[in-house]
This record gives sequence, C-alpha cells and structure tokens, in this order.
Amino acid sequence: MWDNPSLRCVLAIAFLHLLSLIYSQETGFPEAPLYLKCITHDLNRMICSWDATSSANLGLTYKICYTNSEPFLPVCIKTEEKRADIPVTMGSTNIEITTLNASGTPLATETFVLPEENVSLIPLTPQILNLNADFSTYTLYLKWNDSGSVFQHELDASWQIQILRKETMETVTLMNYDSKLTGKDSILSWNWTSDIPLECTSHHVKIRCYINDPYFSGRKEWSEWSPIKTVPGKDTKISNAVVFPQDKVVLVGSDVAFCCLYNEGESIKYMKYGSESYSLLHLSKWSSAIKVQNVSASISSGTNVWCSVLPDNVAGTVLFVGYAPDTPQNLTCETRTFITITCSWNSGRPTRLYRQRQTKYILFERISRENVTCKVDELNKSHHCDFPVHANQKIYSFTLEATNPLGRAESSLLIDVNQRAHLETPDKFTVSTNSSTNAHLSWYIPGNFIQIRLLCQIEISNTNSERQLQNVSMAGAENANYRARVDALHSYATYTFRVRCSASEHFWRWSKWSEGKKLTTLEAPPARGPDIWREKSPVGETLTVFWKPLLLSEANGIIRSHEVSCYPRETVLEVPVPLNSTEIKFGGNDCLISVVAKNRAGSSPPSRITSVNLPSDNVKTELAIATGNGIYISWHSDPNVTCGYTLKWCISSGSEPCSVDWEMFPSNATDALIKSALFQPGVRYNFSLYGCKHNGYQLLQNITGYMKELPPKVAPNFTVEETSSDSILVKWEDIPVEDCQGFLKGYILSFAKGEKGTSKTSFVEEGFPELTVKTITDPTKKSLRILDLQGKTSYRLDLQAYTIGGKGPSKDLYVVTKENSVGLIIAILIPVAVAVVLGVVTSILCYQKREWIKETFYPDIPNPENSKALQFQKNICEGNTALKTLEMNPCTPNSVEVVETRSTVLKIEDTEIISPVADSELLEDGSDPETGSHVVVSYCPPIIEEEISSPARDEPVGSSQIIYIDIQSMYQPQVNPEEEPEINFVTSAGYKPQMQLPINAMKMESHSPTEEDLDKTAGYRPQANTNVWKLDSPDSPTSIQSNNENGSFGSPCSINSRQFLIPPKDYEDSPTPNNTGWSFTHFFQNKPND
Amino acid sequence: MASAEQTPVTLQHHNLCSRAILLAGKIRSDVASLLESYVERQGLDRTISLDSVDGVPRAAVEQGDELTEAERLGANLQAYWAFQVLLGEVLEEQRSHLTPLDTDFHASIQSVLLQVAALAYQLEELLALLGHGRPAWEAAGPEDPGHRSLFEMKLRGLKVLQELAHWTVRSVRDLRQVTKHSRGSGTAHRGQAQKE
Repeated sequence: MWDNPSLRCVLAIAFLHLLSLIYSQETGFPEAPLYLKCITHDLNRMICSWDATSSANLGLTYKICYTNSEPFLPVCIKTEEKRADIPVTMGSTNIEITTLNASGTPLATETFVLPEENVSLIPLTPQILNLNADFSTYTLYLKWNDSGSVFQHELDASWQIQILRKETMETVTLMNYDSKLTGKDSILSWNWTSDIPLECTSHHVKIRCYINDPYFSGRKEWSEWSPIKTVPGKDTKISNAVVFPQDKVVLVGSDVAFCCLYNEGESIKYMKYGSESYSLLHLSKWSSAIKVQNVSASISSGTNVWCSVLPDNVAGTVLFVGYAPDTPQNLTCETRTFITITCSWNSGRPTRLYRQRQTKYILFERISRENVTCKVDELNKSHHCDFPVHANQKIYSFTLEATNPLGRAESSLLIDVNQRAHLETPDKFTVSTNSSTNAHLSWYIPGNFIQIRLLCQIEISNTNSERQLQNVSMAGAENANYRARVDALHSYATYTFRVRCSASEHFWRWSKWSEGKKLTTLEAPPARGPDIWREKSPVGETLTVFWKPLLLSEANGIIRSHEVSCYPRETVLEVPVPLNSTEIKFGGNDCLISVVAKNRAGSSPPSRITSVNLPSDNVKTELAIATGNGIYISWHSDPNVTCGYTLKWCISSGSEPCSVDWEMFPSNATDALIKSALFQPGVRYNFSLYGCKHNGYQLLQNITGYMKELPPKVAPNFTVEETSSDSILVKWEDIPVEDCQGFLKGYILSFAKGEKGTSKTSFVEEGFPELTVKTITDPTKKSLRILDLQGKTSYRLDLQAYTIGGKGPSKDLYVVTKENSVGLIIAILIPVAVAVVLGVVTSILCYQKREWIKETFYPDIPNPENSKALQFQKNICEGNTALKTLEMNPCTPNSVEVVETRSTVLKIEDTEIISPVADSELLEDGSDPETGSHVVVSYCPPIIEEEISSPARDEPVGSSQIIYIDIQSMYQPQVNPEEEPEINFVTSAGYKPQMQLPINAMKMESHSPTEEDLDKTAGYRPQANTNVWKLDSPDSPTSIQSNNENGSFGSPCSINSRQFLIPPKDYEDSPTPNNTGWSFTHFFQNKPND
Repeated sequence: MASAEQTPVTLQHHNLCSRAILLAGKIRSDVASLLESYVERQGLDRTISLDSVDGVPRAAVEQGDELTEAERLGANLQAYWAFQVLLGEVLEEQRSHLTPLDTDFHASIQSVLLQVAALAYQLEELLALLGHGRPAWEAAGPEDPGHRSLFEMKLRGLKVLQELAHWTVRSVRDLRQVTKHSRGSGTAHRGQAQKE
C-alpha cells in the first residue's frame, strides 16, 4: 500500500495540515509547550514529550489534560518533566498542557489534537538471551525473548539480526526473521552458519525488532539494536600456532575456509592447501585465512592445509573431501537357515572416506523395531548384514540407513521370510546302490525348514555327458539329512549325481550344487541276443557262425562269453570274448544255430538262425550307388521271403581275412543304405543279398558298389599297334579293379603333335593349341584308330580313364607316322632334275666359251722345259740328277752372319726368311729396311748363279745371298679382308705350278668339279714331292700344319724363281701327273668310298 | 693374518660391529625409500619445518670425542628403543587414521620397525660383549597421541623417519669408532698379555 506514491503524497499533505492544526493554538508564551511528540511501545500507552521555548525550567510543572473523545471527561495529570504517559486511544486525542509556575499559577496553556497517525510505534529494544556457538559446524545459536506479553493481541513481528566480524566490526550478514507475537512472552531462536571457522576470529551479534500492527495507523519503526553479544574466537591466547578447522570432512565441490592463528610476535609467511599457496585474508591481528573453492576428493590420508609462521613454526590441519553415502543399491534380504536373515547390498558410489569417516550402516526392522549395526569391509563394494529371524514373524520391513559425516541415505525392503529361502549348499552328499537300475542319495542341509517344504533337484549325468534332472519335493526339517531314490537307471552304467535345493512353495533361488558323486549300477543279464549270421564252407563240412557284439546299453554289463549250439546236435561251444565267430563241424547236416551272450548277471535270450542255404540260380550282379557316406542298395521284393532279408558283405583290411558283416531287413524292405565306419572311398565292396524263407536262406542277388567313387588311381597301359602315314591304331589294357576306385565310365584319348622329350606335362596343363581329344564312353572298348594324321610327324598320345569320381592320371606315348613315299620321291626327283639341267647348261656354256675361259684363267705360260737354263726334271724331289737347276747337291753350308736381328723376329728365324718382296713392302710402308734381320742360313751357292738372270734380279739382293721365299709370307699380304672367307682358295689359286696339276686332278676325280672349282682349289704346287721332303729332309722345319695336306708350305726347298711358272698350253693335257700332293685328287683319294 | 691374531672376543665384537653397521646401512636405505613413499602418501612437502615436532630422539645432538664407548653405544641403543615405540605409533596411526587401505605401505613401515628392533638387539649384545651396562629405558615422549591432530601425526611420522635416517648415519659412524677403538685396545691388550 505504501508503495503507491500518490497515496503517500496525499498522506503527507494531511500530515502537514494536522501539524498546522496542532500549532495553531500556540499562544506565543515562552513557557508554552511546543512540539508534542508521542511514541508507543505496546500500543497501550504512549509517551508524549514536548519542548518549550524557554530553556529555563525553574519550578515549572505541567498539567496535562487529555480527552479521547466525547462523552469522556478529560483526565488531568501533573508532571514536572516534559513528558507524560498517557493511554493510546483510537482516533485522535485532545491534549491540553498547561505550564504552571512554582506557585501553581498557569503560565501558558497549549492544546494539542493528537491523531493516531502521529503516534509512533517503536517496539521495546530486544535483549539477546543466549548466544551459543558450535565450533564444529561453524554455527551460532541465538535466543531472545519476543516480549509478546507486551501486546494484548497477536501481532506480526520482524527481527533483524546482524552478524559482525573482525576488529573493524564488518557486517558479515544481516538477516531478517519473522515471528508472531502471541500475547505471551516467547523465546525465539535462530542459527547461522559461518563460512569460516568460528575459532578464526570473534563474531558479534545484535538484534532489533519491528512490530507490524495492521490496525495501528501511526508510524511503525524498528526498535533500537540490542546490546551486542560476542562469540570470541581463539585468535587470542593461543599457546602455539594452529590451523582451523581441524580434521574436517567436507563434500566434494565445497568451498572451504581455513584460518591460521598464531601468537603475538609471529607473522604468517604463507598458507597452503595441498601444495598450492593461497592469498591470505586478514581476520584479526593474529589470524589470517584462506578460502578454497570447489575442493576435489582427497587421498585417503586427506589433504593437508598448513601455514608457515615466521620466524620458524608450522601449523596445519587435514581436510577430508569425499561424498555423502550413496543410496544402498540392490538391497536383498534372504535367509539360508531360517535363523538369520542376511541382507546384502551394493554401496554405490565410493565416498572416498575411510575408517572413522567411512559410511556406517544400520539395518532397522520396523515391525520388531530392532536394528543392527552392520560391519562392512570398506574394501568391498558389496556388503551384507545379518538380522535374527523372530519366531512367529514372517513379514519383515527393513530399512538400511547409510550415514557418514557428510550425510545419510537409506533403502527399504519388505519381505516374507518364507519366500526368501536360499538354502545352503547340500553337504555330506552320498550315493549308493544295491541294484542295477536305482540309486539312493542322501545329503544334509543346515537350518530350520520346519515351516516350509523343500524342492530338491537331482542331476544325473552319464558317461556320454547326457544330463537328466529329477525333482524331489520333501518336507523341511531342522538340520536334517534328506534322502531320495533315483530309478530307471541303466544296468552297469556309471552316473554322476549332484543335488541342489530350494523352497518348494515359493521358489526364490536354488542353492549351489553339491559336489558330484559317481556311481556305477550293478550288472544285469544282457537285454537281447546278439545279431548272428552263418556261412558254410565251400565244401560244406563246416559252418562258421558270426555274431555282433551287443551295445553297452544292451549288454547290461561286461559280456564274458558267447554260447553257440547247433540244434539238434548236443554240442555247445563256449566262445570267450573278444571272439565274435566260431566254426562248427556239422558234417553236412543242417541245424538250427543258437547263440547266447553271457555276463556275470546271466545270459541273454538266444538268437537263432538256420544253417540251410536254398539253391539259387541265375544270380545277377547289380551295381550299387555310392552316396558319399554309404552305399545305397536296392532289390526287388521277393514274395517268398517271409522272415526278412540279410545283406552280407566282407571287408578286408590288408592281408588279414576279410571280416564278415551283415545287416538284416524286414520282408517288406526293398532298399537299404549301408553305412559302416570301415567303408573307405574308392574301394569296391561286394554284397550278397539273402532272402530268409521258411525253409532256409537263399542267395538272391550280388551287388557291388563303392561308398564313394574316386578317379582311377592309374592310367591304362596302351600301345600303338599300327602306324601309317595318316593313322595310328592304339590299343590299351584293362585297369585292375583295385586301381579303378570306381566304376569305369570310359577313356579319354588326347593327342597332338609333339616331339619326345619336349614336354613332360599333360596336355591340359600346357594348353596345346592343336590338341584333339577323343572320348571313349564304352569302357569295354580297348582300341581306337586315329585318322587324318600327317605323315612322318611325331605325335604325343595321352590316355586316361575316368569314373564318376573324375579322370584318372594319364599316360603318354610318342609315335611318328610313316613317311608319304610319293611325296618323298617327288621331293628327291625335282632337285636332281634341276641339278642335271643346270649342269648341262653350264657345260654347254663353258664349252662355247672355253677360249675365253682359258685366256682369262689359264693364259699360256712358257714351258720351262724349253729353256736351256732350266732343264728340270719333272720332279725335283725324285732325285733325278739330270735336273741341274734344282739339283739338291750336297751342299756345304756357308755361314751367314746375322748382323743384326730383332727380338721380335726371332720367332721366325728358323722358319722364315726375310724376302726381298717383304722388304720392299716394308720400305713402301716406311719401315726401316736396315732393321731387317740378317739371318745366317744355309744355302746352296751354286744354284744361284742361274737365277741371277731372272727378271727379279733388279731386287736389292746381294750377289752372295740366296733368297728363300716363304710362300706363306709372300702371299699373305695379298689377301684382302673382303676375300678372307675365300682365303684358302685364293691362297691355293695364287701360285700355279709349272706342272699340269689341274689336268692331273681332272683325270683322277671320277666326278670332278668344274674347271672353275679346280682353279679355286688348285693352290700352291710345290715343285718337289712332299713325300720326299718328309722322308729325305728331316732338317726341314715342320709347320704346325705339318700333318695336313698343306704341310709343304714352308719347305726349305728353295725355288729360284718367284714368278709363276705357267706351263705352256701344249702341256695342258699332259698325262703325266707326277705330283698328287694336296690337290683335290688327293683329297678325294682319302675318301675312297665316296 | 691380522684377524687371525685377534682374540675370539675381539673377533666376535668385530663381527657384531660389522653386522650392526651393515644393518644400520640397510635401515638407512630402507628408510630413504620409505620417506619418499611416506611423503607421497601423506601429501607432504619435504621442505616443511619439523622443528615444532618434539619427542623424537635427535641425532644431531652435539657430541664430542669425549663420549666414552659405552655412552656412545648407550645413546644409540636408547634412540633405537625410542624409535621402536615411535615407529609402532606411526604404523598404528597409518593403519587407523591415515592410510587404512595401504597395506603395502604398512608392511614397509613394519619392515623398518623390525630392523630397528634387530639393530637395538645387536647394540645390546655389543654393550654386553664390551662389558658395559645396559642404559636405562626412557619413557616415550610427553605427548598424548590421543590428542594429536592428523596433521601432527603426519608431521610426527615424517620427523620420526627423518631422524631415524640421521640416527643410522650416526650409528655407523659411532660403530666404526667403537670398532677402531676396540682394535686398538685389543692390540694393546694382546701386547700386555704378551708381556705378562
């Protein structure tokens, strides 16, 4: 209401008007009372005071007469003070104040009209009754009297409390506290928690009051402040420096203040929280503080706070920062023995507080009003606590309270103890039996279960890990043994038993399984007789009886033996295990065979079979179908078969005799899938199907088959029977059955051109482009003719067999087709004809051009025989003494002194003589002729005399010297590099002997080459018989080619002339070929067969 | 050869001294690592002033060469007796108040405590071997551990370990002096015996 400014303005105007009314009656005397002011503390009476113009107050008294309103008479009182206590009245009060002198004479009179609005309500100054401090919680507790009895009726009161701190009395807080005055005195209390420890410094408190009477229209004002009450700090009179708070526990994230108190004469150096220094707040002369905000969780030993005090002191405290306890989680209560109820829970978030500060749990049961203190291990997160079970109490209402210095939390749970039975693990578990089919079990469970029934579960496991559960319900007892019996067990079987229990009616939880106990039941007679079969020997004198061992479940124990008898014969054979067959000599008389299996407990029912074999004819052999894991066999139903079919087979392993196996089928069966662990892929098995007829067994059918067909193990052996120029006949052999590994479906013959040794891989691997594949789908076919081949061509043939399982390995063979004779003839004749034609043409041409050829290649050479100087014998080496020129007289070697020689030519000094030609060539090459070697050689001076007149005499040869011309040396420089491939021919063509060698050669060769060939091959012709040289000239140097036909080169036999001596034309056809040296003739003579 | 000439008593004394020196060295080594661990676990600063902590035997008490062998060994023995008690208190304070879950740390303190007890026993033997009387047992410090603040417990523990480390150094030195002195006296004694 007072917030309305217009209303306030109106009230102010009214107040001023009233004042004017009051003072309107002033008389103007100095003794006249002025400024009347009235206040009330209790709304019952008010104290009015006034002033006077005159300051002198000598003997003056005042007569106050007041009237509230008509028809009351005025009430007058006298007073010497300038104040009077008059009752508060509703509305306005007329007050007449008369100033009297000492004699009682009125001096002045003033009349005031005092409206209620001009009366101020100021409550009495409150008094603090009590101010207490809780230093541990930093809390101040304030108590005061509200003086409510002062007022006659209820009033709203407000209190203002001021907290001051420090020496400078700084206001820490100013709080308002509202209360109701009830007309009676009441003690009000208020508390305040400081942000710093109260020990840090003194705290001061004062209080004032405000009464809010809605019916009082006067001014309402705050009372005076009460006298200050102080809670002194500990910052004075301390014996040693100390830090507050001491060992406090606070919540993570709190703001904490610490103060360090020290003695007079000391000063604080720094203050640390943990390892960090904080800025100091000055609290008092001997107290400083730090404020740490948002503290984090401390380590288990707490966070240190300490201050270093000068000159040399330290004080500190430890702060533990953690969390309030979390609400206990997953509180569950159950009983194991019905003696105690165990409640367990999870503590939730760790508080990070330990030992004295750790969380404490109290389990309170509301119905019985009992509680238990729970001991918990602070290292574990899950805890439990036991509460005693009370007789006649089923329902329990639990409250679990968790408390620590930072707070508390709780969880509640209501349970029916009968529905929370979690039994202990069955103990002392025993298993026994005296039978082949049942067992007795016994176990002990601690606890009092009289009130409930138990449900126990027995687990029965056999050796095959088959698990069976059997439930047993039984009445509960107190700390008792419980028993159960298990039936329908197999004989002579080993079982493992376990047991666990729970409450039957209100299932809560199973107990843990007891330990397992093993038990083997006793033996019983075999449940049935074994499966049997028999086979007669080929002769028919003996009968072999076979039986199959019983399954463990059928044997009911360990089979010790089998008893075999042959009715009507009296003989009974006892066959011990592990034999599963026996032979009976029955002398050709059929009988009824009976086999009984026996164990310790007794004998099985007998299995019987007749020995009679009915004759069978026209027994066919069928093929079975391989299924991969078995052999599928089918047969036609025989109406005469009355007691089933028997399928018999024999599996052989290695060298041992095959083991007979069989299976029996009912009479209506027409097929069977035979499986056996002994079946192997790729192995052929033979089956015999017998039909059981009323008078015996009859062989109905033979079956052969594979469990799984594989590719043939080997390739068929094959050969080539016939070969022509365009075809091959291939034949192959059968593959042995054991190598087929399946039913043979045919062969694959592949062939392509190929030389032997060129490839070892198969056709498919090599990817032959001209590969031809022929598939023979008839496995009985054993040959194949391959047509359309090329003549005289090598072919590679591959042959492989295949089954359903795939293709087997291949075998290869190389064969060459025969040559095509017509083509061969054509191929020979054509070149021959061409050669003949060419020969004829060449001959004709040569004949027509013979003159030109002669002139070109064989110009006339003067006949040295016509020269007198050269009266040669035809063969100088034949020792004809008539030939003077070349006569090899015994010559007396003269010494030729070698003037100078080069080391480089020493090599040739024995074989080569420096020729003038060579010298001249050297000269032409610019070489120094003086460096030529002067070799001392033997020579025959007499012969030289005739040679001097030769055309070569202009050469610089000394008269006393004879020049031996090395034929090789002479001709070598004339050979051009381009002509090098023909060097032999050129060499041989260079020198033309003075004899008619070409003619001789023509005559000696039966199919001599043409003349051109002769020219080429007719090389050097020594003018001596090389044979003679070899025989007669042992001193002659031997060429490295001395063994060949050109061994005459380098002969020491000298020739005077260095010119070719071409025989005259007249001698061309001379029939005197004396020299057969190295010519073609000689060459062909070495090949007489040619 | 020299040791072979010593009397059995001297030899035993020498061996005892050697073992005590070795043990003191071992304690010093263990206390050094324990101090590191202690400071870390208590969140303390090694530079903190411990002058205000009293009731712990001070190794740095002024001592001159005027101390006799018996006084020297007796001071050592009294100190280790005190340390036995102090270490027990420290261990209990750690278990009960400061590091209740840190069993490894407790085992380390326990180990040092046992070694201190062993060293005290060896010193007792040594005193007896040298023919000196056993010093009087002095009661523990005046402070009532029940009124000790946790921070004071931490400081006290640190002080105990620091002073124990100092004492081991002093003990090694004292024991070496005792050994040296006994060698000299042994030699003199042997010389006298030879004269007689």
